Amino acid sequence: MAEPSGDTGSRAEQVRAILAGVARMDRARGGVLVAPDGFVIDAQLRPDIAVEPLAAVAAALGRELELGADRLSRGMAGTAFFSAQDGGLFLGGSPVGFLAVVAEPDADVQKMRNAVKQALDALQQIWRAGDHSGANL
Amino acid sequence: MAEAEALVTQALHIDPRNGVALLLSGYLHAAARRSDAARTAFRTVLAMDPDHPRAMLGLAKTDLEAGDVASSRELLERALRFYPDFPEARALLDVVRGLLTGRGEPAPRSLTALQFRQLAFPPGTRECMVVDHDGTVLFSHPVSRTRQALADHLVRVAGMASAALGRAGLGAVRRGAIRSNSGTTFLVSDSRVLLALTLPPDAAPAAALREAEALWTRCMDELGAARPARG
Repeated sequence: MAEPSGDTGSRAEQVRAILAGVARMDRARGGVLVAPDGFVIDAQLRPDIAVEPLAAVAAALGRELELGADRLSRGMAGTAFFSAQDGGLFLGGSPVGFLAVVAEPDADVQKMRNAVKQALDALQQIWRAGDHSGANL
Repeated sequence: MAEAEALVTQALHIDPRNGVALLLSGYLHAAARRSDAARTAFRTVLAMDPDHPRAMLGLAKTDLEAGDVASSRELLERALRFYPDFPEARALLDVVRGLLTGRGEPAPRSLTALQFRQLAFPPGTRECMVVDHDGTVLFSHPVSRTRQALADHLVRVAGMASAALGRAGLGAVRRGAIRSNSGTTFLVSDSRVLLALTLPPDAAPAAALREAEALWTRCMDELGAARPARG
């Protein structure tokens, strides 16, 4: 599992390494990191999965989970896992965006959930290291 | 992002009606989760250029976040009329059509409200809800003021999760676990009904899901459907 590596490499490289760490896990079909506006930050998915449509829907789902938690006073949204007949999807939010990881049906759910959580924590650290004070748009 | 926002602010200071800068400001607001400001920016772009596909997509997303699914659909359909090869818009249109279909069409057989007599909930149960995919609450424990809002949210989550799973070629959602720092909600779903069981955050997932599945079986029995969810 990749961790942010201090001064080594750009933040973009660190983000890519974090995604690679979780997207290439055993029984993972890949992952995508998408900003809340739907912009694909990085994707490492099997070629049979189209990136943009999955990213667009994952971002919408991520926002619904965040907004629902807020509207219904559920506290902060954490990770989510959804399964279907042929596999599952892990989704979690970070200040950078939403991390979606596609899993095989026989994936170790607990192990993968932990890896997704670690990846989200690492993304948060990278975000904190940057300057995001924001302008007055 | 701060640097990008500073540059866009500077551009808009020089030319307040610069379409590219306004569009970028919409993206940046959306990326920072400032939906209202993003909506304003996308609307400003569309006021100047009513057929701008990216602004239509941006506004459709913020409308979807706000729960205005009909407006979102209209914008996405418009965007696709001008630009049929627009994969993100196509994917989101499938989502909003699914949400509107669930809401607009009556269930094939009208479902009656569940009684769940003498039902024993797992220890620590915060909430248990059974919802038709059109948003009708069939059962709610406890009966809370926010149950309809929760039901609508769960239906949207299930619809979007199915769409995301479908985009990855995996099929429709059957099970789920949504964690927040106040609890974990375990989902069991089929094409008509959704059961949500909320337990404390530290609930053991495998055992909790078994509890949810037991409630689901009971629910199906009571509905007279007697068909277990697959997946």
